[in-house]
Order: sequence, then C-alpha cells, then structure tokens
Amino acid sequence: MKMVNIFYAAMASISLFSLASSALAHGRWLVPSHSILSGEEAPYVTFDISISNDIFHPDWAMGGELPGGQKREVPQDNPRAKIISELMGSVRLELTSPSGKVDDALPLVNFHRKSVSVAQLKESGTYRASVTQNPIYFTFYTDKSGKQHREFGKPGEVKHFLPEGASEIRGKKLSNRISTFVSRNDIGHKAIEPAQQGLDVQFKTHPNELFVGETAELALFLDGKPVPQSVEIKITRGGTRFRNERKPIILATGKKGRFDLKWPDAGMYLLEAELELAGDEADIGRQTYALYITLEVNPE
Amino acid sequence: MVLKYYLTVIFFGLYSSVTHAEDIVVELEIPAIQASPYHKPFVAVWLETPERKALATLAVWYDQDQWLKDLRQWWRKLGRKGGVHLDAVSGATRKPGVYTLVWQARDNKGQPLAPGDYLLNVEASREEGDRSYVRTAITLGEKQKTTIEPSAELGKITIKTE
Repeated sequence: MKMVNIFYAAMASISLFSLASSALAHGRWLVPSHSILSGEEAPYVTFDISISNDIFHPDWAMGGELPGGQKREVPQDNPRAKIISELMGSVRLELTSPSGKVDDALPLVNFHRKSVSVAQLKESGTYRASVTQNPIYFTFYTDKSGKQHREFGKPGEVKHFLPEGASEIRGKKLSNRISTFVSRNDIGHKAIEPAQQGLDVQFKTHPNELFVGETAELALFLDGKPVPQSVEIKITRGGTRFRNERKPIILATGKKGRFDLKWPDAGMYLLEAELELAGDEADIGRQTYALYITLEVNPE
Repeated sequence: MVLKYYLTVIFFGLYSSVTHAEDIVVELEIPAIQASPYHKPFVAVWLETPERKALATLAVWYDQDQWLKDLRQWWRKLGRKGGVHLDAVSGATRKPGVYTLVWQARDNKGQPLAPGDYLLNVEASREEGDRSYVRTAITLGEKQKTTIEPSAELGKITIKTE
C-alpha cells in the first residue's frame, strides 16, 4: 500500500507544471552508458531513463518493474491511479539494431529516481534506443470558481469523476519521442533514419560523429518530412546542477527543417523540440509532439 | 514592464510603522522572465557575520520542501539545521514583482544584534531556470543604503539599515 502512495505522490508532483504554458511536460531523457564502442566481443550498454529537469541527473523513474520483484498495488477504485498506472506501465525501452531488428522486451527496472535497462549489442553498426509509451492524454477543465485543473486521461475517461460544475472541458494528446544512438564498430545509417510518425531529427551529420569545433548539420522532421513551419530547438549541455546558468542553445529551424550547430564544448547534450497541432481524434482539440534526443559530443 | 506588488513581512514581533533603530529593510525584485513553462523561483534572504557564520533567516519562499535544497547556500548555512520548521519566516513562492521585507535584527534567541558589520545574503533558484546568489556587507547601527545589481534571477536589491 505504501508503494502506491509513493507512486501516486510522485505523479502528483510531476503534474505541477503550469497550466497556461504550451510546454506540457518536464524534461525526460535516456542516457546510454556508452555511445561509441569498439571490439570483437559483443558489448553491454546500460540505459538510464528519468523524468527530470536537472539534465542527466535523475529525479523520477519512468516505467519498469520494481526491483526485487516487488508488486505495485493499484487501487482499482481510484480511477486516477488506474489511468496513471496504465500509462507508466506502457513504458518500454525499444532498441532498433543496425539491421533494423526491433527489440522491445529488454529488462527495465524502476529504481524510483530512474529506470534502468541493459542490452547486449550483437551487431556492429548504429543502434537507436527509444523510450516508448502510450500517448499521454490530458483533460483540462475549469471548476466553478474559475480555477483551471488538469487530469490524466481522455475527457471520456475522466468525465465521471470531475467535480460538479466543471466547464471548458478539453482534451489534449502528447506524444513523446525519447531517443539516443549507440554505435559499435563502424557507424550505420539505417537506424538513424527519421521516424515516419511524430517529430524526429534527420542526421546529415551522424549522431555518433559529433566533435567540438565541427558543425553538425541536422533537420527537424514531422511524420518523415521536414517540419512545415519553423520550430524552436533547445539544446542543453548536461550537468545543469553544476552551473548557475543553464545556458541552453536556442535555434530555430530554417528551410526544410534544417538547423546547424557548431559544438562549443564536449559533453552529453539534450536536444528538445515541441510542436503543437490540431487534434485528430474525437474530444482531443490539440495534440503535441515532443522530442528529447541525447547526444554525445566528443572533445576535438 | 514589471507590475509592483508591495508586501511587508514582519518577523519576530509586532509591526510598528516606526522602524526600530536596528531594523533592516530589504527591497528585492523578482524579475519577470519569459519562459515556458515559468516556475516562480525559490528565494531566501539571510544574515551572516563577516566570517560567514549564519545568524538568521529573514525570509524563505518555497513551495515543496523537497526542493529547498536547491537554495544551496541557504540550505547549507541555515536550512538543513532548521529543517523545514520555518513558519515564522517562510511563505509561498511569489510572482514577479517588488517586495519589501522589514526585519528586526534579532538573533535566533530573539536578542538584538550588536551594531557592526554583517553580510546580507540573497539566493534565488528557479526550476528549469537559473540560480542567483548575491551578498553584500552592511553595517547595523548606521544609517546606510546598499544596493546589489541585478542578476539572472534577482532584480536590483536595496538594503537600508539604521
């Protein structure tokens, strides 16, 4: 029972983001233990996944089984807990191999502050690791006193437990892509192709060939094509805990979604982008695509 | 354009419109920052000796106590010792604006502080934003006006002593 409370408290605090803002979610990311590997023996790589604004310092786990086979009890009479539990239970780590094989049955353990997975890279080439999750639905509403609130779930799922007099009920859908790239021996190009659905980056410069002083040529794609409008790209170097100013690099995509970046410092970087569009489902007025890609930049 | 909200916070005793000789008046601004999402910053104001021994918290504004440690200097100097039992000086986070604190210069035991030199510290930390930590020397028992220039998360700060 205690586990349920901790879990639920965690979700409640994650949901404290501003209702008025366009940004729906806190930062979330996937960090590989290694992004470039060499050798004959098939190496292991671990992946840390966390929902955290402190870049690459974990705060909340994202999905996975509790360690030691502990069971998480979800009170079936609490509709909110049920919706959140289904959402968190849908999280998987998906690994696409250089030859295009997809493995989404990797172990994923929830250590409360972060979820951790491990994979053995049997092929040579470039792998894409992604955190996959069911789309996140939100229902926004205004209560009798005019205050705005938000629930997880589609309007149809939450309507029966909204307070009496709830008005301006509207649904939103959020689809996240959380990815990183790992190369063993020679790099490959198949797994880095931009996804056919949602936001993704097209890497003209390979994601495992990023070096200080060199310019990376990238482009932002939506549904496998360049974004139809200019979108802001935010690129933040990890270790935000250890500097008073986060100093994100803010860029805007240009023609054909393109953006270039000359890397100033070595380190792990989080690239973020978000695009809000009209919804394409009943009761869902708006849908947001969000992208979180972790990149390793090497010293010159 | 920053709207001005004035708030007078009284610590350790009843307010009197006549300030006491040992009062410290701190006017500080939380700057309006364009950010999405914008979270109101955590702010702490405290006093130290010139040797940096912490004496008292004048104010700490926060929401959830699990992030009090992000006011790193304040947490190290005073927060962790006082735990979260800060009712007399704590309050909710504030929106951008100008705030005035009036503080009767007393130590933790309620005794008036001796005239002389002190360090006034202000720290602000915003989730998904920056962190600012500034301090200045002040002299109690002397009519003095000291200013601290704006930083990322704090506007101009004016400290008046008498």
